[in-house]
Amino acid sequence: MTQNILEADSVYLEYNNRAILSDVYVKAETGKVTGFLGRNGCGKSSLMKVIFGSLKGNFQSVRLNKQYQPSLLLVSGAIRYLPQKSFIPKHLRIEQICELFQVPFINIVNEFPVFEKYQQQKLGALSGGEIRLFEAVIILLSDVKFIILDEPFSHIMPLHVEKLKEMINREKHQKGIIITDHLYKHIMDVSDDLYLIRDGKTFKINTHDDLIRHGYILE
Amino acid sequence: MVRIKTQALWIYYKSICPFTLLVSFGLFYTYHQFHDGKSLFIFSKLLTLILTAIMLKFYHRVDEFPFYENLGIKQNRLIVLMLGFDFAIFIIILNLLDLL
Repeated sequence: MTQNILEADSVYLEYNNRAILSDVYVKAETGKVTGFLGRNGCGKSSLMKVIFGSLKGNFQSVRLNKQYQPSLLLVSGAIRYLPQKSFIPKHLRIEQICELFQVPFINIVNEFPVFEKYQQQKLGALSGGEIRLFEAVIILLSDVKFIILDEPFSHIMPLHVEKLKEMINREKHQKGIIITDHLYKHIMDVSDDLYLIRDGKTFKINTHDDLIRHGYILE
Repeated sequence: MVRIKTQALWIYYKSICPFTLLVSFGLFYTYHQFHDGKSLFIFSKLLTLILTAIMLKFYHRVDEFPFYENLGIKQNRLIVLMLGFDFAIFIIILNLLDLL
């Protein structure tokens, strides 16, 4: 297994003179799932986009294996990102999407046999939950060094969430995974390193009590 | 990877070409009728491309940009490439019309 390290630090991002992220350090590595929690609007998704390279912060330093990268998405085979909203054009056929993402369709069917009947169908023929699941799976199975999952468990039924968690635990042996979601129990289950973003800064979370102390949950 | 990027660019172009080609055909028809002032038509097309760029950047299927980014194409580059391609087609056909 090749060990890859992704680091992002000195991330500074502001919108309308309001600092969203000001003192953030992220380290992800092969074999580990790095989880992020935080209130709505605290900058989790912005941080994910800054790391991915689709959003430019006022300042940031993103390094892949100690090498500075101005935009990670331009580095072939480096990273894939599951955004919060559905992102694959609905008129594309499932088979065509698998070809573009270089993920064999059979690998998806092996994980979720429910997709078998959709091979020749357009993505738009699937239900909202199935689309979300398909997008999460295709990103998760991509042959890249790192993946970012922004709210992968939203709109997915509990049985599939458990299966997705199993996949995350298995896939982390081949790639580093950064994940964020409001379903914090699931995030705590799958994360090896967990951080909370508050007031633009990252805080290491070790126990459930840390989340209470930071005011993220009540009890 | 080049093949995949080309496929992705074609997918995006197919989604925008109904707008850009409609404008082009309108301009071609007018040019064909009067056969005069080619630079005026090039200028008109450029203006529509600027408006199209604004539409593509902020309104047209903006949720789908991560799809192209996941395939290694940044959104600004995607838009510029598409509009460049569309403009090139326009110039070629405009010149061909002189032969008719």
